[in-house]
Amino acid sequence: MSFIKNLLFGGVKTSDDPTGLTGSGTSNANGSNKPSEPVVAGNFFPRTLSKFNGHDDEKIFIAIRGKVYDCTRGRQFYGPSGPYTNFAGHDASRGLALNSFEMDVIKDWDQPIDPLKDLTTEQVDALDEWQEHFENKYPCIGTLIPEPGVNV
Amino acid sequence: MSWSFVLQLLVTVLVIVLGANWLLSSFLLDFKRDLTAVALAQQSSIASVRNEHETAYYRSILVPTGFPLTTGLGLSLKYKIRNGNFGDVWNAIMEVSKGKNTIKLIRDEKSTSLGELNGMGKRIFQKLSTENYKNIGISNSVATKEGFTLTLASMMASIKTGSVPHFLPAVPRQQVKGLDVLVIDSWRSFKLLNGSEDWYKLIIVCDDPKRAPLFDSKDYRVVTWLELIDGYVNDSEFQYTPPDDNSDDKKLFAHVTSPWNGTNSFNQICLVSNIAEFIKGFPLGNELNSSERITISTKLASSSASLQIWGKLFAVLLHGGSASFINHTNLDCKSLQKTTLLFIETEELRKLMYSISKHNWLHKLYLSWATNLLSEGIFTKIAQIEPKSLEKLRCVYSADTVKDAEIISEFPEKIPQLKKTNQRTTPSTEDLNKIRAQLGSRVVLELYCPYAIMGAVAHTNFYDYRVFEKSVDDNVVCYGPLTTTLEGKMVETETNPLLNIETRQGMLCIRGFTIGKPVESDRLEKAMSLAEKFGGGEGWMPLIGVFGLWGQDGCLYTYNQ
Repeated sequence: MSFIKNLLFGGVKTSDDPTGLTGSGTSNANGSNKPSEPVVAGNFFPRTLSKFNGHDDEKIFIAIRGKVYDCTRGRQFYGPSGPYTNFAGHDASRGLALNSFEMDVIKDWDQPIDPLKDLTTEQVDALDEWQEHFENKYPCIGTLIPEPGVNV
Repeated sequence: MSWSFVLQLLVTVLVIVLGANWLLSSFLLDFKRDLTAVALAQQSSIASVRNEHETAYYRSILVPTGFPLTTGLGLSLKYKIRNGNFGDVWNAIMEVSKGKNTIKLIRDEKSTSLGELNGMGKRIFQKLSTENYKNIGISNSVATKEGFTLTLASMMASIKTGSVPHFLPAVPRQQVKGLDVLVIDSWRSFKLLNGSEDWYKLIIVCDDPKRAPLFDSKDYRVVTWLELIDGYVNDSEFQYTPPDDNSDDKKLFAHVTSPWNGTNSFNQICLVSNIAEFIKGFPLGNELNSSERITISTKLASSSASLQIWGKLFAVLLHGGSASFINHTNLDCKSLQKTTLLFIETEELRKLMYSISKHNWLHKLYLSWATNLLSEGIFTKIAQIEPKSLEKLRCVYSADTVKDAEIISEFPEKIPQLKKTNQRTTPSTEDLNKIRAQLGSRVVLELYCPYAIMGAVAHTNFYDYRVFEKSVDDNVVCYGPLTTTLEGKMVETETNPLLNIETRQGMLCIRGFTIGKPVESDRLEKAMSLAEKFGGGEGWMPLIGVFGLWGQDGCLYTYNQ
């Protein structure tokens, strides 16, 4: 009724409050249009990292040798149904070193973090190259650390 | 007439009204809206990660995260990409206009062709470049022919000899390093130099040479503007051969001194990025074109404040348009007859609206309909005042400045406390729609940080006519997303613990391509120390005292202070 009412009796349509200062509007609502809140950069446990797989959360984070990269921009590669989707939300170090995208080279969140001590020189070199690629392409947003009682 | 008939009639009318409202709201209005509600609710691209004690990085949706901010003109030269500089811009302007387009300067009855202004500028440049002068201090308004041509000549020098224009708020009372040439408006000002004339190698007086007083010249030369332009010819060419790389980016474009004596330097990249940003801000179907005429208030053209006009002015001229300057005392509907774009301060816009508003009931009715339609996102001209005079006007840029530019320029270590008020100096969102309705033009509200940032910090969307509740308007002003040359974040400050970073509130920090660099070493040191404190030295500039928040729509909202 608002449009006709405003037309006949005067008045204007007010938009939702995007600031949240008045306690009304979109800012405090849990509507589908609400963008997901940014994640605070810092320390990640394998458990907290695992949800950023592009599916459970639209963001895609990947860890390489203890550093966590925000690969959301590379959704076509690491997102659901992408060729490297197994890496999303995980420590991808071993997979990149072995050039393997299979699940068996990726540790689950409740397993100890891979120490990568058994890698050969060639594999370490390959991993170095991959890490350099990630450093140049994606922002580093934190560090992957073991969760007491879960990964150590 | 039976009761049942009346009841039937009432029900029928109610059904028709409800049906019409549903049809209008659900379908017809959607087709008429300039911008969808979804687009208005997502005006910024937001980084997915944020650091502790600060918000995520926000940038205009036109430059999404991962893409570069608008920088330079993106000129393609051979196989290299150049950003361009003033030389490229002026060369292109002269080629497009063939010298025929005009600029109407104040005190002139007629417009002056670009060919004539170019000829004067080149003549002045030619005479000044024979000596090895460094910077040229300009304290005149650039809206005058003298100020404009001298600025033009010094901009030409900025790419050819390295001498740059130095915009001054007034004639300096202290010696300014590197200032070899001083431009002053009259012989009266010359007499008031009071010995400071010895600081300069050359003094240019924009006054009649016949009225020159007697003076004893020792180390300095005095010349009038008329003597400098003597022998100029109408010239519609400006040749510039660019280098093969991007080395122009870092060349200085101008120095600007604020009234509180802080000087900032701006590179060529600031100018070209500012131009590109303005061009990019126009939506499809409403782009700049050759029939454009921009009218700029003389208040914005006073020497050191003129930093904000060049981007818009050159962008319009680049498209083959014309320009004019107008004194606020002469500003009325009739004076805007040929204007398509108007660039004035918000306060002047308020005064203009106050002076031209109509009070008859028919206009009030039209105004009510128009503001209703605008609040629905539909642009209309039904309530336009003086349609004949304002027929061509299509956008008004209303320039607002940050609350305290002085404190920003000082880079203090101690952050002030936010003192909120419920009184705003900027028109409310409803009032802005009334202005849109009465002028029959879009209104873009811009936020400027004078003397420190070239061009706007943020501006509302061309199509954003949203009206917020009074309680929102009483608290904050919506300035839309940041311009495409900048990205920003809010940071937590110790002095304002009530501003919650979790709800995107804090003090604004920006970085990008239109920010000036402090010239004085102590200010530069302070700026670097603050940048380190609030951004880990990643080039962030805190706008001290600019407190606000990011809306869920990605727009910048600043608190009324």
